[in-house]
Amino acid sequence: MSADDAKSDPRTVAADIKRKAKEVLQSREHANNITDILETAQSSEDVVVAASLSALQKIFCTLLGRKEVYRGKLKSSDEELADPKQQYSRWLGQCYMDALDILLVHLSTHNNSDIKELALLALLKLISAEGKHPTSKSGGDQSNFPLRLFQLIIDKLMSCETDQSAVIGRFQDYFQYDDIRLFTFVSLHKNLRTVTKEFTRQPPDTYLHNVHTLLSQVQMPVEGDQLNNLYVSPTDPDAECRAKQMKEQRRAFTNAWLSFLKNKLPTSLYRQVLLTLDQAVIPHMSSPKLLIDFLTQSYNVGGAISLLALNGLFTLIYKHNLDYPDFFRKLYALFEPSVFHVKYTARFFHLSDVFLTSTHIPAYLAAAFIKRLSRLALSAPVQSLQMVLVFISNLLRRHPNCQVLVHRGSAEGLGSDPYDASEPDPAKCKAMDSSLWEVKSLQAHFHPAVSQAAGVLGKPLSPLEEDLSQYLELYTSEMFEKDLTKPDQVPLEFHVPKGLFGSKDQFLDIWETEPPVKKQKTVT
Amino acid sequence: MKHKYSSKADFVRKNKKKAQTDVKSNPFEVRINRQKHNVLGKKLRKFDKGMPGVSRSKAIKKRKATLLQEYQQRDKRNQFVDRRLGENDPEMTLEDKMLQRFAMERKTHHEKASAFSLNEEEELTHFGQSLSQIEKFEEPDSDSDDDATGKLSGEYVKEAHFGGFLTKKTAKDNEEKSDKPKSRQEMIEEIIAQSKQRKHERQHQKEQTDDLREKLDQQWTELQNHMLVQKKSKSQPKEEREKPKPDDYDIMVRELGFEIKAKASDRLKTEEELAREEQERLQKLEADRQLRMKGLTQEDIRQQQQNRHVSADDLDDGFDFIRPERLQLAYKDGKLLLPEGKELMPSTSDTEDKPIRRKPHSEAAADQSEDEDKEDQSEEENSDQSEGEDSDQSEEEDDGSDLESEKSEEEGSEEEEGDKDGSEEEEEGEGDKNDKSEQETEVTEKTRISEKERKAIAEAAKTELPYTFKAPESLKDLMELMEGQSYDRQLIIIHRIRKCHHPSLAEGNKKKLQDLFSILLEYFGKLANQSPVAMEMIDGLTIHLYELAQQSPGPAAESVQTVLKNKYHKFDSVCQRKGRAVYPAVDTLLLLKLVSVIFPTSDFRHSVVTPAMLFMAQILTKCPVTSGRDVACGLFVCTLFLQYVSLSKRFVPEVINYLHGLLYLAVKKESGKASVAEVVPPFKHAGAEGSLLVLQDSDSRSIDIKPLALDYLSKNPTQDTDTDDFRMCATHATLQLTNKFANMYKNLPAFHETFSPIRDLLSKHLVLDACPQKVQAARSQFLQLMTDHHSQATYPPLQYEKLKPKPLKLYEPKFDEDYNPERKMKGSRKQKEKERLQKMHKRELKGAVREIRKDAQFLARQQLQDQMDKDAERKRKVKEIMHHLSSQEGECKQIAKKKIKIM
Repeated sequence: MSADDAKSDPRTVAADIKRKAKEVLQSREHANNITDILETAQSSEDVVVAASLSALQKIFCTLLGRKEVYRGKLKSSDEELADPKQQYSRWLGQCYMDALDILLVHLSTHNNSDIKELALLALLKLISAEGKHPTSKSGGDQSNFPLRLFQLIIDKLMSCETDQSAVIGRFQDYFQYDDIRLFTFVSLHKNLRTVTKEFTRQPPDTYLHNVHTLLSQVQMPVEGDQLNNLYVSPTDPDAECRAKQMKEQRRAFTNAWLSFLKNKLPTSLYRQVLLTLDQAVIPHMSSPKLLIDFLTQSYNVGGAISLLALNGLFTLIYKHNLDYPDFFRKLYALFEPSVFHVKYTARFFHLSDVFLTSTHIPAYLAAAFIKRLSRLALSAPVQSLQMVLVFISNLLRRHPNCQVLVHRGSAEGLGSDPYDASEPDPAKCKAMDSSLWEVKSLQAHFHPAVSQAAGVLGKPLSPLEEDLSQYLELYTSEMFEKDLTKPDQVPLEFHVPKGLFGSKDQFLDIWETEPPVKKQKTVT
Repeated sequence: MKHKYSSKADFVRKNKKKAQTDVKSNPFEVRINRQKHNVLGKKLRKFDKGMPGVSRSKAIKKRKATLLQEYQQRDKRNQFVDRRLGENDPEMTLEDKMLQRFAMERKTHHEKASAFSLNEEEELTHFGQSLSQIEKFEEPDSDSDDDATGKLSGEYVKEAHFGGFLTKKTAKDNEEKSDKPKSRQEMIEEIIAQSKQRKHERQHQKEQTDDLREKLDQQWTELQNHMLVQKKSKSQPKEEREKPKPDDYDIMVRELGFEIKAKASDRLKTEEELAREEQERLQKLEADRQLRMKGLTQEDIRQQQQNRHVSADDLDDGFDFIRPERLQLAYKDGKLLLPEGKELMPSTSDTEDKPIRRKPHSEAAADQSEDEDKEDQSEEENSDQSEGEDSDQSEEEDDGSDLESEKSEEEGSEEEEGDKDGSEEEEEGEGDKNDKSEQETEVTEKTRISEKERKAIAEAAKTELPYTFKAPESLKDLMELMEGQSYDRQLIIIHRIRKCHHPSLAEGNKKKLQDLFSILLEYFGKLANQSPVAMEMIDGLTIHLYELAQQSPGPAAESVQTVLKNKYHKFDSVCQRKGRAVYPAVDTLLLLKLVSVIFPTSDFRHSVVTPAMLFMAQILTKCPVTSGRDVACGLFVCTLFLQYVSLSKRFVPEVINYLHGLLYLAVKKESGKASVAEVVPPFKHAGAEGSLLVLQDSDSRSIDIKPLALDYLSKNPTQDTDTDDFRMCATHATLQLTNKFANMYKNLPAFHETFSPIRDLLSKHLVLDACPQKVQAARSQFLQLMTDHHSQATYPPLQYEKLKPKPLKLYEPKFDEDYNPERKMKGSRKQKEKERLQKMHKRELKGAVREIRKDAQFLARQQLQDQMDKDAERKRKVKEIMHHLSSQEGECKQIAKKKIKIM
C-alpha cells in the first residue's frame, strides 16, 4: 500500500502520514501505523521523510509524556511473560529505539541539509521530552539530562566524512542553554578522545573542521553571569547541578579545546585557531597555561604560524604572568628577508609593534631589532619600506638610548660594521656599537616617499610617534595611484633620441639592440 | 521691512551729505586730539581730528530717522507702504522719478485709450497745441529726399525764413512779379516742382558717370589681355633690339654691382611661417600629384591655363592652381576661340610668333615646348621663392635665378640653357619629394609625352604617397592609412600628418596632434608585440613620439600615464588574484624603455617616471621565474632600472635581490644539502625552476658570449632558450649588470651589506671554472671590487645633519635693516590673509558693539523723554482738573454765601 502511495504523489503520502500520526495519538488501535511511519521515514523523497520525521517526533514526544514507552533494557525472555500492557510498552520502546536510529542516521548522512536540521531538531525535542520524564537510569546526576542520547547526537554531528557546518550553525541557537553548552563540551571531549585514539592524532580534516566550527560557535558566558537557563529542567529547580557552575563550564571548555589541539591540524585551520586563540579561547580557559605546550610547538612550525603562536604566547605573558625568557629572542629570529613577501606581513609588523611597545624593554634589545630591521630593509620591496622606516623611527623614539644608532658623537671611522647579523642572540649581536648605514643608503632610494621617510632619520626626531597602521597595508597599487599625479608641468628629456635604444645607452653591451648589420661589430 | 529700513537709512545719509557740504566747518566744533610728541611737518591723520558735536547730532538724526521709526512702529501690525514709483530707490534723482512716473502714466493712459482709438498715432502736443498743426509751418521742403548739400538754397532762405523779411521785399517788387502775392498752395507746388527737377538732373549725371566707367573698364580689360600675351610670348628679343650692345665696361660694372656684398638677408622665419610654408608646399605637391594621377601633364595644364580668362585682379602668381578644367567660352570677331595650337591664336600674339613659324614645324614645336618649360621652371622657382623652402635653399635658388635672368638678358638663349642645367643640378640636392617632382618635370621636358608614358606616370602617381593626410582619430584610422605600406613610407606618412597639422596652422591642430600621440603610442605597443620586433620602425616611431611630446608635454604625459595605468592594472589584478603574476608582454617592456627616452628619469619625483619605476619594481618582486623568457624579461627590467637610475644613482633593492636570485639559479644545487643561500621571493629554494641557469655540459668554455637578443622577450621566441648558449649569455649578462650596479652603488654607506649575499654566492658556490673567459673575468672583476671596497671601507658613525646653531639671545634690540612701517610683517600669504581677516573682524565687532550701545542709549533717552512727556501731560491735566474743580468749588461757595446772605 505504502509503495503505491509513494509512487503516486509524495504530497498525498505526507498528508497520509500526518493523518496516521493523529490516529496513533487518538487510540492504541492504530499503533501499527508507527511501523508504517518508520518505513516511510527511510524513503528517498525528501517531503515524505520530512513529514515522517516530524510525525515520529510528535508521536514519541506525546507517548513519552504518557509514559507508555518502556525505556529499560529489552530482554527477549521477558516478552512472553509480560501482560499485554507491558508487552505494548515494550513494543513501543522497540519502536522508539528504531526511530532514534533512523533520526541519527539522517542526521549524519542525509544529503539534504534541511532534513539533517529537521532530524537534529526532532532529536533535541525528544531530549527535552526524555528530560521531562526521566527514568531513574537515564541521567548521571540530578539534572535529568539524557546524556546518552546527547552523546550520540554529538558523535553524529562530528562526522569524519561530511561537512556538518550547516547543521552545526542550526545547533548554535541551543548554546544559550547552559546545560546544552556544558554537555556539548563534555561529549565533545569524550568524542575527541576516542577519535584521536582511533586515528592516532591525525583525524581527517573534515572532522577537525567540524569540531572547530562547533567549538568556535560556542559563546562562553562571562564571569558573573547567572547560569540558570536550562534546556532540561531538573526535578528540583533549586538543586545545584553541574550546568549551573561556572567552574564546571570552564573545565569542560578547557578539556574540549585541549583535546582538540592535541590533534595535528591542517595549516589553514591552524592559522585560524591561532588567530582566534587569544581573543576567544584564552580568556575562558580555567588555566591558560595549559596552552603553552601547544604554543611552543606551534612556534617551531615556522613562518606565519610561528608569529601567530608568538601572539598567543605574548597574551599569556602579558595577562597571565607566564615567564617565557626566550620570547624576544624567538621574535628576533622571525625577522628574516622573506617576511616582506608572506601573506601575513601586515599582521606580523602590527604584532611586532605591539610586542615592542613597552619602553621598559632593554635598549640593547631594541637596538638589535632596529639594526636587524634596517638590514632587512636593504632587500625589502618598495611597498614595505615606508612601514619599516616608520617602525624603526618609532622604536628610536621609544628608546632614546638607541639614538646612538643614528647619531654618535665620536666620528671615528670603523673598519667594518660591528653588528653581527648571524648571531641569534640579540644580546650578543653588538647592535649598540653600530650605526644605521642601511637607512642612510635608503635615503638614495628610487621612490621619493621612501627616501623622504629615510631622510627623517637623518635629523633629530620629533617626540611624537608616527602612526604605523597607515603604512601596514600599503599596497603598491595605492602608491602607484598616488604617484600618477595630474601633470601640469611635465619636464621632458632634452637629449634628442636616435631611436628607442640610443648609442650611449646602458643597454648597449647587454642587449642586442642594433640592427643585424652592425651586430658583428659588437661581437668582435 | 528691512529693506525699507535700510533704504530709509540710505536716504537720510544722502540728504545729510548734501547738508554737510553746504555747512562750512565751524572752527569751534573741531576738536583735535592732543599729540604726545609734536612732530614738525607731520600731517594730522584722519582720526586725529574730528567734530564730535556734528557727528553726534548726525548720529542722532540718523537714529531718529531709522531706529526711532522702528521703535515707534514696534507693536503695530499695519504699516504704511509707499508704492510711489522710485520712492524706495535712493539712487534716483527727483527728475528721474518724475520722468518715470510720467512714462507710467502715459502707458496706462495709452493702454486704456488705445483699445478704441482708430488712429494709430497719438496726437502730440506742444504747449497745448497740436504738433501736427504746427508742422505745417515748418520747413516746406523737408520732404525732398536727401540732398547732397543738405542745405536749403540761399534764395529760399532769404524768402522763407524769418517771415521773409530778410529780403525786405518792397511792395513794388511784389507787384512786378505777380499781381497778387502767391497763395500758400502755390508756393508749395512751386517748391515741389523745383526739387523734382533737381532730382532728375542728379540722376542723369550719375548715369553718365556710370557709362564712362564701364567704358573705361572695357578698355582696361582689352589692354590687360594685350599685356598678358606680350608678357607670355617672348618680349626679350624686342627689348634686345632696342638696347644698345653693352660693352665690357658696362658688364664689369654690372657684375661688380651684383657681386654679393654683405647682402641684407631675409628675416629668419618663425616656426609658424616655416610650418605654413611646409604645409603649402605639401598641398601644392598633393595637388600636382592629384593631377598627375588623372594622367594630365604639366603641358596640358598650361595649355588650359593660357586660354583662361584673366581677371583684372589676377596677380598672376600661380596661386590658383586648381583650375577649372572646362574651357572658357570666348568669341572673337564672331568666331569661337579654340585652345592654343589648334587653329586660331589671339591676334595680339601674332607678331611674336612669327620667328617660330618660320622654323620647320616639328622643331618649332620642340622649341616652343622647351621655352615653355623654361618659363615653367622659372615660374616654379618664383613660386618657390615666394613660398620659400628651407631658408638657405631658397636663398641659393634666389641667387641662381637672379643671375640667370641677368645673364639671359645680356646673352643669348643658348647660354641660358646651359645655365638652366646647372640650376637643375643644384636643385637635385633637395629633399626627396622635391626630387621626385623635379624628376618628373624633367621627364616632361625631354620629349613630348606619348600616351603610354602618360599612363605610366599616372600609375606612378597612384603608388606615390599623398602629401596631405587627415589626422587619424583612432588606431583604426591610422591602420587604414598604413595598410600595405613599408615601414619607411609609414614613417613618411606620420611625418606628413605632423606637418599638415602643425599647431600654428589651425585652431584644433594641437588637439589632433595630441590624439596622434596617443594613437602612435598604441601603434607602438602593437608593433612591439609582433614577433620579430621591427626595430627600425620602432626607432622611427620613438623619434616622432619624442618630438610630439616636446610640442605638448602635459597631454603626452597624460596619455603615457593612461597606457601605463592600464597595463599596471592588468598586471596588478592578476597579482591580487593569484599572489603572483606573469611577466608582461614586450610592449610593456618597450613602453617602459620609451618612458626613459621621452621623460627625464633622474627627477626626484616625476608623474610618469615614478609610477613606471614602481611598476618595474613590482615586476621584479611579483613574477616567479619559470622559463628562459622570464629570465630574459627580468634581465631586461634590470637593465631598464640601470638606465633609469644611471644618472641619479638611486638605490633599487629589488634589482639586487633579483640579480642575486638569477645567480642562484645558475648554482648547481646538490640534493639533500641545505640550501646554499637564502633567496628572496620571487625566487624559491626548491622546485624545478631552481636550476634554470645551471649548465648542462660540464665544459662550456667554447661558448660564444653574445649580447642577449630582444627576441627572447617575446612569448614565442624564435630562438630556443633551453640551451647552454642562452644560459651562459644570461649568466654573463647578470654578471655584467651586477658589476655595473656595484660600480654605481660604490659610494653607498651600506654597499658591502647590500652586495655581500652576491659576493658569498659567487665566491663560495658559483665558481664558473668551466665557463668562457669573459664570464670568469666578469666574476673576478666583481669579487675584486668587493675586496677592494672592503679594505678601503670606513664606517663613519652616523650623525645627524648639522643644523644651524641657534643664536644666543641678545639684549640689544633687534633691528630690522630695511624696516618699512607700511609693509606688513613677514609671513606666508595665507598667514597674512588670516591676520588681515582677524583684524577686520575685530574692528567690525568693536564697531557693531559700539553701535548697539549707542542705540540702547538712544532708546533709553527716548523712553525717558516719553515718560517725562507723559508725566508732564498728566501733571498738566491734573492741574487743569484741579483748577476746574477749585473754581467750581469757589463758585459753589459763593452761591452758598449768597444763599446765606439771602436767607
